[in-house]
This record gives sequence, C-alpha cells and structure tokens, in this order.
Amino acid sequence: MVSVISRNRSWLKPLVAMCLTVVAIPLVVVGFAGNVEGSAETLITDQANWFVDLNRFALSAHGSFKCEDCHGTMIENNRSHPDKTKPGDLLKTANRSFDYSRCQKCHKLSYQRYLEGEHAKALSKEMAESEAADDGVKIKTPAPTCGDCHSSHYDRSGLSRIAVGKRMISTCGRCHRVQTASYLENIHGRVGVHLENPAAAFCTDCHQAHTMTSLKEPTAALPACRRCHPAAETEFTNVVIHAAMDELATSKSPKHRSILWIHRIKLAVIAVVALSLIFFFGHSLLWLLREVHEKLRKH
Amino acid sequence: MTAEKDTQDITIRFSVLHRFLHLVVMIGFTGLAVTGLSLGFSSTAPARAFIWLVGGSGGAAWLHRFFAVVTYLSVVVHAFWFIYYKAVLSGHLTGPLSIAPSTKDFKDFSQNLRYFLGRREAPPKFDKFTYMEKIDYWALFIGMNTMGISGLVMWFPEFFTRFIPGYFINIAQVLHYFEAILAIAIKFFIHIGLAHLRPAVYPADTSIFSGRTTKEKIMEEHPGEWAAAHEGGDSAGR
Repeated sequence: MVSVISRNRSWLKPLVAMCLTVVAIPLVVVGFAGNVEGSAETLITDQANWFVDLNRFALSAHGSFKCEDCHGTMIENNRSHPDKTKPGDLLKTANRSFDYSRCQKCHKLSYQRYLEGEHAKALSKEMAESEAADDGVKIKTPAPTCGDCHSSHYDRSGLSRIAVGKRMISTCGRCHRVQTASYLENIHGRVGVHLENPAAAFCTDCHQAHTMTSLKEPTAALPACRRCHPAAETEFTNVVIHAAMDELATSKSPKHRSILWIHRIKLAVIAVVALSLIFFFGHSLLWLLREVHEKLRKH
Repeated sequence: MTAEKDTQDITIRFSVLHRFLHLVVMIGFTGLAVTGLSLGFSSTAPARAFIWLVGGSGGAAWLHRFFAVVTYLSVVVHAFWFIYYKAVLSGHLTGPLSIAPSTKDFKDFSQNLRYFLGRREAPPKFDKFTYMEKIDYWALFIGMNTMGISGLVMWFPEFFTRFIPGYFINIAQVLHYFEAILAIAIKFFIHIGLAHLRPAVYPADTSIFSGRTTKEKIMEEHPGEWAAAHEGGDSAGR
C-alpha cells in the first residue's frame, strides 16, 4: 500500500519544478528590468522656467509666502522690474541673477555655512573670472547658488531622511557624476539609496550640507567617519569610498595609489574567476554530453 | 522502504557527523548566498523585495553574519573531527578513502577527459572521492576560511585598520564579492548538477542525507572505495 502511493508520486517533482520556474522567471525579469537609477523627481530643472506652477508652489515649504517676501518690491535700481528696456534678462537663468542673500532672512545658519563652504568659494572664483572675461562667456559647470540645489518654489518640507538622501543622488550627481556613481557602488550608497536604510550615510552626512567639506585631509575626514564609526582611527580614513578610476585623472594622492591597487586586484580576481568558471562549466558540459550519449546509445 | 531495496546491499557511506555537517553547511551556505547576493546586487527588485522581507538591510546583514558564524563553526567542528579521526580512530589521512589530493587524481582526470571525448570505454576507477568531489570539498574548506577572513575584515573595519592600510578594506570587498560569485556559481550549478542532476544519478543522490547507498552504486561510481573498505572481505553486506 505504502509503496504504491510513494511510486505514484512521480508527478510531484516535475510539478514542484514547474511551480518554482513559474515563480522564479517573472521575479528575475522584473528584477533586471526594475533597476533603479536615481529618483523620478528632478525638480531642480524646473527652476529654468520663469513661470511658477502655483498649484505645486502651494504645496511647497514656501507655499504660504507672498511673492514679495522673497522677490521684494517690483522695483529695482529705481526701475520697474522686469526691466522692459532689457528683455534679454528673461533669457538668462534665474539662478544666476537672483540675490540669494535674501535667503538668510530665515535661513541664517545655512547661509553662513554656505559662505564658508567650498561651493561659495567656487562661486566667487567663477564670478572673478567672468568679470575678467567677456560678458558672453558660458561656464561649463557653474558653481552652485542656493537655487541650484534647492527649489525655492517647489521643494517640500518634512521629507524623510531617505527621500532627501535619494534626491541627493540627482542633485549632487548633476555635477559630481563620478562621485555619485562610485558612492552607489559603495556599501553606503547601496544600503542607503537602494535598500533605504536610514542609518546609512548620504552625501551630506559626510560632506556637510552647506559647508561642503572636502575630505581629502584625514584630519577633516576622521570626524566625519566617527559620526557612525566612533572607534575609527586615522588609518580608517584611508578606506576608499569613491573608488572610481575616473578620479585618477585629477588626483595624485595616496588615494590614487590605493585605487590603482584595488583596480589591479579586481582585474586579477576577475581573471581567476573567469578561468575557473570556464574550466568547471566546460568540464561539466563534456561530462553531461558523454552521459547523454551513453543513454541514447543504449535506448 | 520498499521490499525491493531491502534485498540490495545497503552500506553506510557517510557517518552521522558528516551528514549533519553537510546539512548545516548546506543551509548556512544558502543563507549566506541569498543574503549576500541581496546586499551585493541591491539595485535589483528581487534583492530589494528580499531585504524588505527580512526587515531592511540591517536584518539582512545580521542574518548574513549569523549564517557566516554557523557555517564557520561547522568548519571548526570538521577540523576537530580530523584530529579525532587521526588520533582516536587511527584513520589514514591519505589513501583511497581519504579526501586528500593524490597523484591518482591527475591520472583520473586525464582518463576521465579521454572518456568524455570517447577515447575510452569507461570512466576511471574512482576511489571514495573523485577529483571533482575533492575540488568541491577543498574549494569549500579553503573558501570558508578566505571568505571568513575578508568578511571579518569588513565586519570590524575600525579594528582592522589599526593594523592594515585602509584600502585593504576595499580589497577585502573585491575579494569577498568575486569569490562569492565563484562559489555560488560552482556550488549551485556544478556541485548540485554533478551530484544530483546528471543522467546517471537524476533526480537525486540521497546518500549524503541518509548516509546509505548500495554496493551496486559504489561499484559503479567509486569502485576503489569498496576495495579499500573491504580489504579483509568480511564486513560486506551490512
């Protein structure tokens, strides 16, 4: 009796295999199709438009403001604004002409930090250069003003840490493309952006939001590391977070040597893995073919 | 048990300790692979779905380390068993019943290749472990140690950077990542394929779970084992 039942279960295995396949294939397909590349929200580019969508503005952090709170009276230098005698002004992007010192009326600390930081330094350098050069010179990557990173009309308040962190990928990534790509390959980026762990470090957790600290010096990097790794010592700062080969062109630091070694070892390991897989899969394929041949020959 | 099976010569091929350790390593390795792949390929949807299932990347990291400790413990137990086997059971660490590599493996390998290519009628007379099974075993035994070291370095980077340069953490990541891919590709495809799915053994060879096999099977796949285990010729047909 028992043996009869167990023999009749031969349908079970193909059924289980079929079910597993049916579950697995869509999962894999969806998985590879669904690779995420940043977030869909790229609100910053909306700034390039002189028109303001008041529906979205009403939902933003500044939604309760009157226009004049930030834009002042519509009179500038004793002339009505916009200046009808100079229509070319409207062709320029607002981020270059708006006086962002007005932001410090409310955001005093952030503005002070911005002035001390690397972005402001780059901006004053850029302004000195453009004054020296002709009027029409276009700068490839303009140094950021407040409005280059924040959308004063549309940015909402109360975003979660994850949401803000994910937006940094598109915001910071517009200029720092190499660093964003290497960050996303690093465990911090994978865990923070892809796996949405709020304990992970996003761009500004290490580099600060407005001072935009360069962490090239270990003395600057160590406090950043210690925010999450309190037991870290100086050598810990030599763990490479942005291990991008592209960076080598611009840097000649000890980090240069480290990245080069990481890259060499990666190539060597890939070669070993590839050769091993060729051996094992080739060997198994031959074995399989021979056994199939044995079966076919007999029956 | 069917009546048909009782009439055959059933013999014990793997001791209860080895069956147990295989089961532990099997579960531990699968756990490591699933959690590790999810962390390594975190931008894909199945990875994020699985990570969500185990309560975020923190949960996956915890599970990965849990499985790592469990799997490595079985390596430690196995190493102690070697000492016991040699000192108490007076076993031989080399010879036809041993997992140690020998010159016969190279001969077997070339003979087996000639068998694959049709230059030989039958496969070579394998001992208890074929060269493929030895590679399988040693890849895991050595791999568990190297993966353990690179994993430990990544687990406690603050501690290890007191002794080694910081970028060694990055190198540990590279080694861990690619060795994992190699190990998963070999264990899930080659090992399972050769041990269970090839036509001669399909659908499964249960001897590593039950410990039992038949004389007929051993004579077919590991003729050297039977000869070595029954030199006296008295303990056959248990």
